[in-house]
Amino acid sequence: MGGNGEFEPRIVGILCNWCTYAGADMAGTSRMQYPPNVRFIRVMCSSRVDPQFILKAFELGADGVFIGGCHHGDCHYVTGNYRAEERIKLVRKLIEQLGIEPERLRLEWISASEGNVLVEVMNDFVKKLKELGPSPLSKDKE
Amino acid sequence: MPVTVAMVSLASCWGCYQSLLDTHEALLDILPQLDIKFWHTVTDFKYKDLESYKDGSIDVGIVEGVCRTEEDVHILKTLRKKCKTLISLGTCSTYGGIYGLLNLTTIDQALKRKFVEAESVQEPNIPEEDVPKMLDFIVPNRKIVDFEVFLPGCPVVSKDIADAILGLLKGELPKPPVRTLCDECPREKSEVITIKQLKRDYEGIPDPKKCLLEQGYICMGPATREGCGALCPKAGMPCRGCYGPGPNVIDQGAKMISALGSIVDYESISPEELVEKVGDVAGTFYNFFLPSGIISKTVRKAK
Amino acid sequence: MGEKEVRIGVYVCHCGTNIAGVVSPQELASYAATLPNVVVAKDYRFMCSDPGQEMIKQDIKEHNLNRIVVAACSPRLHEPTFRRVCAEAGLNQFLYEQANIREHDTWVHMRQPKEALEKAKDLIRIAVAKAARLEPLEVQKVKVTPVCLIVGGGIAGISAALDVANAGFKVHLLEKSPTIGGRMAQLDKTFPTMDCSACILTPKMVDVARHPNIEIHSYSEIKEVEGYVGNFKVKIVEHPRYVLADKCTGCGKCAEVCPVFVPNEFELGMGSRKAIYVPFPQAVPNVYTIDREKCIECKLCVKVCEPEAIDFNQQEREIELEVGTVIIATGYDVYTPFDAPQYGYGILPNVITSLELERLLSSFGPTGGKVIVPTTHEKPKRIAFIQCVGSRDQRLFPYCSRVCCTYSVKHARQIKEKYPDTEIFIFYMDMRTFGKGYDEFYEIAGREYGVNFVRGRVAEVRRVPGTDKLMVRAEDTLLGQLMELEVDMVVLASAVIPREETEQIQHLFRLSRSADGFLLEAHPKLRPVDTLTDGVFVAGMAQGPKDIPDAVAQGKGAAAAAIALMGMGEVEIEPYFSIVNEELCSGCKVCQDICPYGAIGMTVDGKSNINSVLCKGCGACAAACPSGAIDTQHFKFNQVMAQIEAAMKR
Repeated sequence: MGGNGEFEPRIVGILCNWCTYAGADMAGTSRMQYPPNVRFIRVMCSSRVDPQFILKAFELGADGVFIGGCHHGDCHYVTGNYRAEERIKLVRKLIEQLGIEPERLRLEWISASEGNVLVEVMNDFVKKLKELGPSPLSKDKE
Repeated sequence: MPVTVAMVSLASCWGCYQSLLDTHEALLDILPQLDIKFWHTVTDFKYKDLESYKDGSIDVGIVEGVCRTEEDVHILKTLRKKCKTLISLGTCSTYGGIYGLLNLTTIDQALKRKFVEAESVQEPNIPEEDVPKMLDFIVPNRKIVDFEVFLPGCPVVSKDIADAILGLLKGELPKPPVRTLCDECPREKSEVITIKQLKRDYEGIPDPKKCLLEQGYICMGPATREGCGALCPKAGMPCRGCYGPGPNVIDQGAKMISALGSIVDYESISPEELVEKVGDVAGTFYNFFLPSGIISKTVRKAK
Repeated sequence: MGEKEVRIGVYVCHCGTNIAGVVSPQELASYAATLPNVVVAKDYRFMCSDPGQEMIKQDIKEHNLNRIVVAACSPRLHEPTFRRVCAEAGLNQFLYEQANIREHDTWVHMRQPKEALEKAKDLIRIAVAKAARLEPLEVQKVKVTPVCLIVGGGIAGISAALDVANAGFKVHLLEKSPTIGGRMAQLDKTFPTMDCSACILTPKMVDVARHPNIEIHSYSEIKEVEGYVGNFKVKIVEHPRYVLADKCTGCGKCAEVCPVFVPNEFELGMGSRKAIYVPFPQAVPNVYTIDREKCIECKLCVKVCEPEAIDFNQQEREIELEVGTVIIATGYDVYTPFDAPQYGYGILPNVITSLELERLLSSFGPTGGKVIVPTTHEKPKRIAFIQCVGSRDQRLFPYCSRVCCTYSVKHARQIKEKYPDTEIFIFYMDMRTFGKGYDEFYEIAGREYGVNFVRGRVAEVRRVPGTDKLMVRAEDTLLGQLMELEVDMVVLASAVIPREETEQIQHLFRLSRSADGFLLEAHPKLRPVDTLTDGVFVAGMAQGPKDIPDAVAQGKGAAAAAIALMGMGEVEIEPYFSIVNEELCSGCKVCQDICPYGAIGMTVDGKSNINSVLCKGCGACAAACPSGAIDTQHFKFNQVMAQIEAAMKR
């Protein structure tokens, strides 16, 4: 919860090393500012993201889960992001069936030079999550 | 010295005990060694009969079915108290089973649907007399009490039951297999099994020799623990995952989602088309496993 | 793992005020000390400095630490530094984890210090959770083939090729067009020295042709790339010239008799060539090429060719090259400004691009070096140059093309030298003549040559009715006046853009491109010629707009990097590969087609098997495996899960 009692979403982000993580680094180097709601975890490729990671994050109360990979055709490992997309969109349907708003699982393709896009996405994701309110699985006391 | 045994059915279809009876000739080896202290589904035992035994006085307890009501929970806990070794018989008891799919809604909404809203209902009325209180959601039995042995399966194949019991009679705990169905399935796979077209079970006629997953049918075999002898794929039906996951997997449905998403050809089946073709993601991948999944039930607040 | 106890040392870096200015490193160290398995928790001004590194080494020995966490900048910057520190202290270098509390925290939440502190605690907790589960790994060493492939025979590629070849390594210089030389061959003079471009370029081209270590593959393209640093397998395709390179003497008799005229691409369509041709007289290799699409097969060339070099049956040749390093120097294109119709290119007469003007200025160009008004063939009396056509334009190319200011000044001076009476107006937004000698070059153009510089964007170019003359409408912002200028010719300094083939090159070598479409360097400041793919380097305009000195510098820089790799003879590869637990593997084959490197196969027993050298560690197979039989080193399932649990803990 934010200091003034306002709901502050807790977001877990899993970013691929070559694109989105580097883009987040670039946002840092350029001193672009964005809300402090997300915690980034680094993997080498978005295809490393096991759906069990995503479900676990939601089960532990994450209000939003963000997966960042490379643009189509730019994956450092050629096809990883396609696998990630097929899997994650199925997971999104699953969580919807379980009563979690599908918008809480966000998949974005952000390249190493797109620090500004990462910032825009973070701003937008936090805003949308604030509108949605805490996750039904949130452990934070209201 | 016969082994004392108490057998209980909670909310179940009784299929696993039928499978026990289906051990046929093995029964001739098993039955004489058993001193059945409680089996209320076969003869007239009452709950107080079970409650009257001393704690820990029965050698083996066998549980089939899920805890749907508070009465089920009471029986399960009582059985645990009275028995030294507790066996979870079948997928319902071990993982939640098909009953678990009700976790996609709340019990209140389910009762309303069945007794009030269903098209065939003539006199809407949710019965309450003599009905034990229902639990809100199915929770796998192992979250309620501890077990020594798990025998998944829907039903557990007779051979597994026979082997487990005969082994236990010798004082050995069964060693569950660690691989998945593809290990024992006789169907042949090509070098790669990329899917260009997904098929529902009723679409097309599957080639009887080739791997079903490769042919585009959603077969849970790769994510399902072996032991059943790949009965369903042998008979032309894609596996639905009733034996639950292998030992190194936390969430069977999640892993199969990952596997399927990984082998569809992106050019032929886009992510949106994949979701549409699968349709009911939870029902397909968590047919028997939902209460044991990482997210085990709906979190939607009842309206 | 057989270890008795996990003992973690956590070090929080101040990074001067970059971190300490927003969050308290002392408080973070105190917090870290409360985490499980943490036995040492300290903070220090600059962890990457010598004393900082020494501190870690000391503590490893003194406190028997077997895991190290540094909370500082991005691991993409200093992970190798601290891994080396661990190794030097006798600790396996992969038992190290870095928490990014600078780029991902203090630098992006500068105005929210309280929240930044909480986030830093979380990031440290996440790193400690992973560190506790890290396992010792051994780097793999692979051999580096001492052969370099250079893609692109322009000045950057040529400079690189000569340096690599001089260092004693074999070079394959690949060029798409029939001759090397690139765009520099299309230039007349080069700024600021006004050297004749061909005069300084052609000796280099000849050096390349003569060098025993360089093999030129002209009129060739890349078909397929496989492999990894030190061990690339590149399939190239040599298109048939229908002329035998070892017999052709370059005498040109065939071109003299060829009856087919074709617009010459080298002259940007302003001049013509024959169906059998060399792009320009000083071509290297000096071998003619038959444009089979335009050839009418009259075979007159065959009759006059004494060495009998013409072979209409020549086939395309596919060659597989085994190389250890690759340098991409594929150059640029010039934007044809059809999307800027206000300037009239392609619509109005006598509107040309700067590159087209280069060809008019060139002594071996279509006009023999005479600058003429294209429709009247007369000497131009007044010329308008329009800068930033397409460049610095939010609608087209937001970036600055770097070279146009200086080359337009060059063009203006060249024309003034030929026609001192001709009036020249250069319409600019800013004059960016920043290089060595460039500003002086620009000053002289105004002061001594009388070139007029007008600060203002041209709104439109219109035809003067009834004539081939043009009316240029612009605002002179320094005078604050609108102006309408009647001119004979308009020259558009059109944007430098990435070549169309850049996308294909990117996919072949698995590179990235920056937002402007040029190839992305590994780090904009410190690694300008490396790419994110080990063993593949980039040089010249392919990486972004630049002038010849910078292109040459990058070519030489890339050569140095390639030489360093090949000189060592072997390279270390991070052991992030995936491993199959055969006990759990059921042979389901879900993993078989996932690997883009072909690293996954089957054993004779029907179990999945991963080649640890080919595996690049993306983890796609590990995530896919429905038995949980595959796991990826250093990014193991239990490690990432622990990070997620730590992230959500409070």
